[in-house]
Amino acid sequence: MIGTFSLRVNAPDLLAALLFGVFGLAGLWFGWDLDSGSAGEMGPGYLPKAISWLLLAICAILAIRAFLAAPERLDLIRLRPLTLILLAAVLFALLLERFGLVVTVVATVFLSCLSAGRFRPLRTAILALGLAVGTILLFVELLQQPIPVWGPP
Amino acid sequence: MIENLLLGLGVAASPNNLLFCFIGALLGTLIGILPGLGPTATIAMLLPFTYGLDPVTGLIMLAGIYYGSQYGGSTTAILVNLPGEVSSVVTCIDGHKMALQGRAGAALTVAALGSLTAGCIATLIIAAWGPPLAAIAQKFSSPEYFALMVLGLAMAVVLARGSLLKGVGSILLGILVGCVGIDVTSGAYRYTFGQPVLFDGIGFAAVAMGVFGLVEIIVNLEQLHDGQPRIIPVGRLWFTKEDFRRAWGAVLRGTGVGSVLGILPGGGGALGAFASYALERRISRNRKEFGNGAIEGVAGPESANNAAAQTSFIPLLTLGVPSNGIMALLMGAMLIQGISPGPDVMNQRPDLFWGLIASMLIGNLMLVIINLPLIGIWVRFLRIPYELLFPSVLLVCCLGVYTLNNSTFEVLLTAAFAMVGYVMRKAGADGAPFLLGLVLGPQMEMHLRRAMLISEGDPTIFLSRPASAGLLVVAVLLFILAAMPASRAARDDAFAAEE
Repeated sequence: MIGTFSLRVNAPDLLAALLFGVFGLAGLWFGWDLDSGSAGEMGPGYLPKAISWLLLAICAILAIRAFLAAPERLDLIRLRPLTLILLAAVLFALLLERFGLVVTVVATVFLSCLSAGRFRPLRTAILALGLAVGTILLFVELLQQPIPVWGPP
Repeated sequence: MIENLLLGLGVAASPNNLLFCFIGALLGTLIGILPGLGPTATIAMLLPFTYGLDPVTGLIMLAGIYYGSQYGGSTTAILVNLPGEVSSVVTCIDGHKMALQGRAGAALTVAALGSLTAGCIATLIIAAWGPPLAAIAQKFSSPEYFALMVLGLAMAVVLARGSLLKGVGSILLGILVGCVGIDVTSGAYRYTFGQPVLFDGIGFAAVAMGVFGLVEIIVNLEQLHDGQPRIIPVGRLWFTKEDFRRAWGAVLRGTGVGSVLGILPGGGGALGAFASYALERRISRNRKEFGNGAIEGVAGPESANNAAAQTSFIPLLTLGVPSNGIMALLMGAMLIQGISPGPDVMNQRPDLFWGLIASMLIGNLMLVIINLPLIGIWVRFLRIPYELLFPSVLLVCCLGVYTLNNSTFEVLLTAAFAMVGYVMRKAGADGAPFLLGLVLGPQMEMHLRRAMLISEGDPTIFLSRPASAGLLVVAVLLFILAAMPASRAARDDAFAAEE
């Protein structure tokens, strides 16, 4: 689907149009009730709404340009590193205050290592343990950060 | 100026500051050498660590990382033919050829000593230019400040690579994200969705870490391929009389080109290096040697990128306008410490301004020692596979964000902005303008409101005041120039080698 589509469209332009459009709409939608005030006495909503309209204008121009400009495909997108790295960060946030640093580090390292080429269990285990010790030494011992090492604080 | 530099040296030479200057230079060299890790991501990663430090100490370290990476980048370029940093791309051309001819030692020595010369001269340029520029900026009021920021952002878009329209979009996106939180003037809640964590706005470090740290990991993993790089042995670290005769002019010209381009917003190391290479090739009598190991092709660009890295501090420290992504990060670091960068810094915190500048002199000396005699150690780091490196980077990012406010919510924000940054990357929109918009947005809004309050809503105030009118006219002219087909082609050419 995307393959045939990108033959006629400048995909990066279209993607940029989409990104700016979504944020422009969100800025207007969630900022609608903010008071705009007047040019002489700007309210809290004046700038956000002005910026949102400008974003929508750029979105429109880019969307039109996407169909007129030379067709171009998107760079290669690999879903594995994208999802696994983002998931690893989310997992880190969910685990840290429930299970402590050691469990979190091991889980995050294992999940993120699944994203790079061939998965090597032993090497990953050694790396995970090394990083667990390293982060405890650096963050908890040296920098004295209040991070739970085991379990909830 | 001498007096001030002495004051600065006094600050920079305190044991603690020397230590952190050294740490910064060391880290900068390391990440400069490692291809998958750039100064922007590293500085984003280390922002949280500096909050506990004295502001001067933190800035000295972060600055050291930036110019240190310019030294380290050349090592990888010369020995492996991979740019350790973007600004070292051109060094690959002739530097690697020299290494293949058995002259790696000469290339490395010339790169390091050229960088040192450029660093010292650029530091003196900052010291000489800083005070007069700040004095002009002190006469500015809100309309001029607003116009100045518009010009700064315009230049950042025009001189950076990529589409103008997407650059402007990224800036606007950054300004919009900067609106989140309690509006200082009215006390209204903007885009907070009832979440107390958002009342103070979206954490700058969380955004920077997502857009630069995590996105860099993801993109590197996409391009990852197996196999060890082929590293060419260093050989003897010295150069011949003939080398010196040919290199010194290139070093000085590179310093000049780099210093000028560094001051301009959007400039920075890469542009300086490209411009210097083009200049050397044009004026050299040995033009045929370029591309086959001409020493001028290493000496010029390497001096230029270091000079530019240093003079790019001028707009931030004197006008409060950051000129590239890294300066936006440093501005974020200063703001969180309660210092607002601008002309007043020099008067109110002379220790900070001059301490930072003097630390650059010391840091450059340290870097030559770190990079030349110890080069054997650094070459070993080139053998670390990326599969072992990126989980550590990921963890430091997450832990760094978490420790800011002990909030896991900020880690989730980082992941969300990594997604935004990834889409931007694939859409061909640069992350640096986004960060500039984010960091400058709140101040632009404040100055815009004040200016319009003074004029009672009449926008012609920006044109009736000569200084602001001049700044805005230049901004508009730049855009028109950049959008014209002829200069567009030239601009694309200038960045073509970077791809």
